[in-house]
Amino acid sequence: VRPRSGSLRMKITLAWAAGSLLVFALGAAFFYRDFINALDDSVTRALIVRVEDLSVVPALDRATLEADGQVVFPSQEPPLVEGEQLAAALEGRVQFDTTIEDVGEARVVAQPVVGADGSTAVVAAARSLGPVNRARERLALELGIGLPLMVGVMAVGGWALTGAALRPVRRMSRQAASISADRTGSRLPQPSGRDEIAELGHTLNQMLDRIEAMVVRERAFVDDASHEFRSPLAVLRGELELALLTSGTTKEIGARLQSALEETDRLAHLADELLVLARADAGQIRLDGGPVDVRERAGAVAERLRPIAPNEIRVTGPAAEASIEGPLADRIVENLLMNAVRHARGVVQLTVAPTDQEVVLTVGDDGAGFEPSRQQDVFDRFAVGDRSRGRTTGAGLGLAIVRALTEASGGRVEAGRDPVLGGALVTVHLPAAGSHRRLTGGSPASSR
Amino acid sequence: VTGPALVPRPRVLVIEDDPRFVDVLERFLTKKGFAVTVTMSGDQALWALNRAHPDVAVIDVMIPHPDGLEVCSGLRKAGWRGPIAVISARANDRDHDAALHAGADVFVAKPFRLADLEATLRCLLEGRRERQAPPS
Repeated sequence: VRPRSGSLRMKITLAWAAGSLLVFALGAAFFYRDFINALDDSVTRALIVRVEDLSVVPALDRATLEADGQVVFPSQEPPLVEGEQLAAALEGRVQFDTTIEDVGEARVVAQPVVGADGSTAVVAAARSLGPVNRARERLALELGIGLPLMVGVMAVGGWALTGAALRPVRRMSRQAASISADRTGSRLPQPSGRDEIAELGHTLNQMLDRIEAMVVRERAFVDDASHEFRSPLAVLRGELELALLTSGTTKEIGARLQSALEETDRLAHLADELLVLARADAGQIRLDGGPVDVRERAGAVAERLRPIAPNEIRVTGPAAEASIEGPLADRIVENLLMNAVRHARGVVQLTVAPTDQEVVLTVGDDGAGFEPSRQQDVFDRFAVGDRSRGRTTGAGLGLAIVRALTEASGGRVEAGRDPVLGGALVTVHLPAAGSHRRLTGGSPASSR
Repeated sequence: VTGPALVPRPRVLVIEDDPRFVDVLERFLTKKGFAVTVTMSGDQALWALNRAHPDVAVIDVMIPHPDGLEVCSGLRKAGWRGPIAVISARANDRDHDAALHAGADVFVAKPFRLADLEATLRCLLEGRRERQAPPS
């Protein structure tokens, strides 16, 4: 694999190598210092022992001097200790480094001795520092070669290890690059094991599942929406063609145009409904709207619908404040009532019942009711169940909008059979004003 | 005693549940010289077939149970050999194939020009006449 600057692998390897270099360099520095100090001390200690030995040899001439382990009698020229160092040595033990002819750099230890006659002399011993210096140079050379080598080995190891660890990521990345909106069925290769990278692969695949489901849903929605636009367009087009063909009275042409006008109203209404759904989908609805009195709103909407409804609309229940935007509450009530009115034989019953946490709004009718097998789907967009109950609605969006607006406001919906009237029953649970609890987990199956 | 009165009007059976579109089709096809019989649900299709003896059928896919495709294959199973035009507002390739598979002769997507529908029906009727009376 070609090393790429800026790649995670390169960064990890560089950091790893830099860390190794730092640790090794510090270790080597401490080792070097301690080793050389120990060597140095051993030379000094050996000289001290030697000087002590010489001090107690009675037969020895006081001027005995020793250089590099060789005893030299009586002394050497120039003397090992002289001047200031001699003066200091007469006071107590001294040590210093100096250069001795034929020996080179050497360490000298000198101390005073008092003779039997009371006179004071200086005993000194010296040892060459050559072996110490050679050891120092050798160690420096070995560390100088060994250190970069070790860092190099660590870097190569780090490069190989990160390469192996990141291989599944690279595979996933390649596969992800080939996934497009047209190929939503593809998934990333799932790394084996249970490590973080396997978990990442699993999580990303779950995300792809969700995206695919969403894309499928969106496509079905667009497909359905297109279909719902085509039906009124077919009528509209037909009416206009007929109007052009009509050679009869202006009254007949007027009727055709009137019908065409009604179809354009249907189309406009459909566009409006799609817009409401898009708004709910886009999360543009406030969760803490209101408070609004659902009973009052329902009464007002029912009042508005009564003149055009062929059935009786009853509204019962006490005042109940829910946490929802007012226009949304109106829309929910209107869609529920319109749906019920369309399918009722004679009576539509709307009931408002407040509890501690929620306001329960039910709309029942005495029509044929939902087919049990399709009860789960009545809130789906362009629900087939809606159509099977008669195609006077145009689009099957009424109950879908009820669900979208209710859920966007933090509530939930259910569909079932009205126990009293015998027809369909739709129940909407809205969060009560002041309760910010989301009412979730409702299934559209049960009824009361 | 004029020419057109002697030619039998072709009989067309329309199976469509949208009353507005039924109205449009009925008026147009009648104006164009067809004898139109309408049924608004699939389960009455066979009954209407036996009563009206149509020369050609126009069936919408999206009608309540059984749907238009089921009606189409039902008519074929019942032995009816007349041409069938399936119309639908749902018009992707899958719907098109499903219609032909169910025994339809032609698939027409809504919205369409009424004149095109007329031309299609006449074409289907023409083809049927040729099949029934092949040149010796």
